[in-house]
Amino acid sequence: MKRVHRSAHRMVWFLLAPAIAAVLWLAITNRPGPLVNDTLPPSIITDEAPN
Amino acid sequence: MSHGYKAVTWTPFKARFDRWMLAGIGLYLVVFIVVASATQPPGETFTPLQLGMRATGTLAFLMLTFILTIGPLARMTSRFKPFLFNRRHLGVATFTIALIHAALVLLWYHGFSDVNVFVSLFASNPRYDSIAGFPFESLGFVALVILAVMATTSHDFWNANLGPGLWKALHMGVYLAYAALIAHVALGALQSERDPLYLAAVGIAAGAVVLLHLISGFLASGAPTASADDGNWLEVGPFSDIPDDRARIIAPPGGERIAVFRSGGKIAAVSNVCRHQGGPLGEGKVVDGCITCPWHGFQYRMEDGQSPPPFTEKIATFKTKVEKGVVYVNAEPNPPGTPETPTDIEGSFA
Repeated sequence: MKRVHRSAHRMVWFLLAPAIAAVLWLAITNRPGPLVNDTLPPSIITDEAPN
Repeated sequence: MSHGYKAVTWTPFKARFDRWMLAGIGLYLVVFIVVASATQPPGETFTPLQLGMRATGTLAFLMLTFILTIGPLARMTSRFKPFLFNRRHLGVATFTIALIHAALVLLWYHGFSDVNVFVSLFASNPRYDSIAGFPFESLGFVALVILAVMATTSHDFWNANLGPGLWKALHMGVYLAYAALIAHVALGALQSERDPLYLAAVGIAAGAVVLLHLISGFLASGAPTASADDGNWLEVGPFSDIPDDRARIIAPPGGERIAVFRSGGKIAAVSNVCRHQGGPLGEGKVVDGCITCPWHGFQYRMEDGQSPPPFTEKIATFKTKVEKGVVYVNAEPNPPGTPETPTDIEGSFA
């Protein structure tokens, strides 16, 4: 490999390595929690014994 | 090599490699679809289109990851040299799989409205300021475009017309494509898949590619730098340190590297840069008296740096000498293809 390509290769990976790590870290730490359907009203049927 | 034009040169070895590759691709797709169908979570039913989408998406990711590990691994162990030799066919196959994945995605998610599928792809989700809701499809599109350019120009026709330097620079775009692919997966599939297996797989794959390339870059910079004496002679080292039919690479101050080969009791030195794609000739070996590039098998005669007929490539040769068992090479390159009689090792003890 030519010297210029070796240098370019090293430079590319020194830039890409932190960029890839940052994207993965941001993506993982900003993951949404488990989906919860909060649009439903509270339960209207209760197990309370009739008076 | 440069003689005539053939759409694809399938040697028996390449044909066998391609058959195994196609069988592996088919097996992965079938196994993925069967296992994913059998293990669907209760209440969820994936359509064949969705299963195909996932199977091709994961396969393209794994194939590109593997392709990017071949170069560094081949520098560390010769076991990976056959993959290096067939890397372009793997690359074109990866692009084809990625293209099928993209087509299935466009069909399933964007193909049922009146809006153009590409307008739908880029305009339906404008949340570019969000991480969890980022339109990750656009990143996959960027990776696919880069892979398309690379697959289209992968033929030696383009290498010959663009020149090895520009061709190599263009194909280094694969690193950018991989970064875009990692972002595509991290902001897409990893946002919805809760199984830690997916997270671990992506993390390990990306980590392996990055680490191997950093290590490889470090190793490539480690060729001993030789300093020249008054006569411009560089000390290479004892000839016994050079394995038979192999080379030692040295870096003259300020110049391109020189590959000093030993074969059959003779020493010869040539430029370390292959005329085809700039491959490191010094990491190759001597086959049938010819220095053979480890990347794609281009060959040059030891005695004059010329490819054997009918091929026409030429590389620079260098004067060599052996004194008291120590090999020296003259830092001044001869014009490419200049005959230079290899030095007889036995003669150095006379």
